[in-house]
Amino acid sequence: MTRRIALVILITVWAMLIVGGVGAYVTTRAVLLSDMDESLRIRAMSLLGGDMSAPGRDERYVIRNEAGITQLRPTTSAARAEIKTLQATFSTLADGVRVRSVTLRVTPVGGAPVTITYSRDAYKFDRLLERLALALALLGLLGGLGAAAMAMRLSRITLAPLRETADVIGTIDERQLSRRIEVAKLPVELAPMAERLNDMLARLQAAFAQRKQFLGDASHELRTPVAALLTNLEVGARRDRDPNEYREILERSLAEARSLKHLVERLMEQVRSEQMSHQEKPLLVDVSALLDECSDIAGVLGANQDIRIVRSFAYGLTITTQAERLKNVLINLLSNAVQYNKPRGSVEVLGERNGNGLYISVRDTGQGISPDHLNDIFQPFYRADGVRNRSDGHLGLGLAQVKAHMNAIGGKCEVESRLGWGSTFRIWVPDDYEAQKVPIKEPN
Amino acid sequence: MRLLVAEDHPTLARSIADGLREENYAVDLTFDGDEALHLAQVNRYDAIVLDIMLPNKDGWTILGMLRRAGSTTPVLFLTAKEGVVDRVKGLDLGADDYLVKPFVWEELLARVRAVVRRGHGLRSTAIRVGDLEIDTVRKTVRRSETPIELSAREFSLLEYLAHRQGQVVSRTDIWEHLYDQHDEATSNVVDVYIGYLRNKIDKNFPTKLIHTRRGLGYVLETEG
Repeated sequence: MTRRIALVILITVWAMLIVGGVGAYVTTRAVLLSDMDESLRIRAMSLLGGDMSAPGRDERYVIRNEAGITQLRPTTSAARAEIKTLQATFSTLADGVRVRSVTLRVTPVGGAPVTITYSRDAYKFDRLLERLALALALLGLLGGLGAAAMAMRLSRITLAPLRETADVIGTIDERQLSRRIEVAKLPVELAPMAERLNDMLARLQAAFAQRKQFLGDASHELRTPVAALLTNLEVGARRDRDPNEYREILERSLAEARSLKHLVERLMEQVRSEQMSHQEKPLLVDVSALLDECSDIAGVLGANQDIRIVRSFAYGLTITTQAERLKNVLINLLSNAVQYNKPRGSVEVLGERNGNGLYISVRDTGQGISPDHLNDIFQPFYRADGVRNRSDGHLGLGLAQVKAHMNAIGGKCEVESRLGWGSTFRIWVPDDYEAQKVPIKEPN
Repeated sequence: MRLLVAEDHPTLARSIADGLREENYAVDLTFDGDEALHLAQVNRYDAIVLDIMLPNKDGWTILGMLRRAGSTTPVLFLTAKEGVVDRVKGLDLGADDYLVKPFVWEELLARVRAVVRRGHGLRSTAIRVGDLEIDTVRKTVRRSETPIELSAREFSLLEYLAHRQGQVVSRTDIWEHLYDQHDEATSNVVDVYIGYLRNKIDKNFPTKLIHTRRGLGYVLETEG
């Protein structure tokens, strides 16, 4: 683009300089010439008028009468004569000298007309004009080049921040997502674009960080069960054993393999729930019926610990949202409430409409969560009791999924808790979140 | 040799303990951090296989407390974290070695052997006492180039004495290093096995290597 600007400016300036130069040249020449012709005319007339002061070395004249015969001297006075300019030209004389000649016919009153041709060497004139032409040409050339060079420089300076920005963008890969474009360095017109780019980079960075964290956690979680399976089989295979021992080894391995399978499935669920592309169509959901259904399930889960499920929600609650995700969230919260409860404790399910959404709360009479952990419990794999008790199949992923699902439907999840008393998880579900969102173009 | 294995995953813990017992180690097993610390403080082990993520007290804490109390028991960390940072942290805290799960069983065995060896100040896997040669990897014994057949228990006893060659080892020491906390052996059994060992190692050879120090214990060394 710099080159194109430079070329356009070069051609324009040159065109202007050429036109101007030619104009200047032509005008100057015309003026000088008419000046010279006038001076020749005056000299001719003064000669005819009797002024015989010698013509200059570079001047000559010829006087002729009607018959065309050269006369040395006019016989008549030129006063009150009729003067007619016959011609004014350049010509080259027999000896090779270039002259400018003016020819006049002078007709004195009552007398015979004479023609006088007065000439002067054109040498000076020609040289002057040659120099003028050269100067103009040189000026034009240099002027054009100078203008073009300046144009290139100016455009490079203006575009330099853009090029720097392009370089910065070029270096950004997943390891360098913390770099940002310096908006202040760019032309003010580009600021909005640069700011949006920076926002996009920030989002990408957060997404990558989350993914990296999850991969680290997942790999960590998988290692111990795999080690258990591997070591069990390796030790088992080291020597000959009786069938009962082999059976025990196989059974332990099988149990471990199943537990791994479960872990892998939960991990995949977690990944899916985090992805925005996993979109169901929002539906009108009968929330009260859904809460009823989930409460029934919770009741079954808590039966052997005598946990009561208290239904404190109104009937007829509805909302438009992604039904599967909401159900997933409720099941997660309710099964947690049952799992982390005291024997013969209770779980209360509340629901009410508020503005353009619903509040749903799940309150348990369990052990509670200490304030230090309240922020951490939504992290994948986090377990407040520090125990990786694989036998109950709980991996610490439930609340992380709840958070991911609530994000996906535009809602929120909070928790309040008191150690020894219990916890209340409260979610906010907006109505028809999808309709309010700016659509995001999915890459193919 | 007596080992403490602390790992909270039940199947993995049992597999490790079973596997080590099959290699003639006496093994105390625990799934809990507090219990692991307690056992390490109360018993003397030739090495501790310590998982980092334990309930109630993690491996870092246990190791720190043991080292600060002056324990020189070798510790082999087991971990599911693979970062360099954790490796450095562990080694700097005083661990002797570090294994990432999942690991190959043979490697665990070799590292346990190495860590036990180093704990006794030995560099080589072969121990020589006079003309007695013990290969701790292949579990073979030769004296004057003659191979000697030993039972598992006898080999463990000889190996322990050899690791502490030149030092007087009390009956209690021997008993503590050959039997785990659940064994019902009495200290008599030590004398019995010393007898078996003498029968095989010393009886048919001109110089005796196993000596009794009355009131103190036994020592394995060349005479003089």
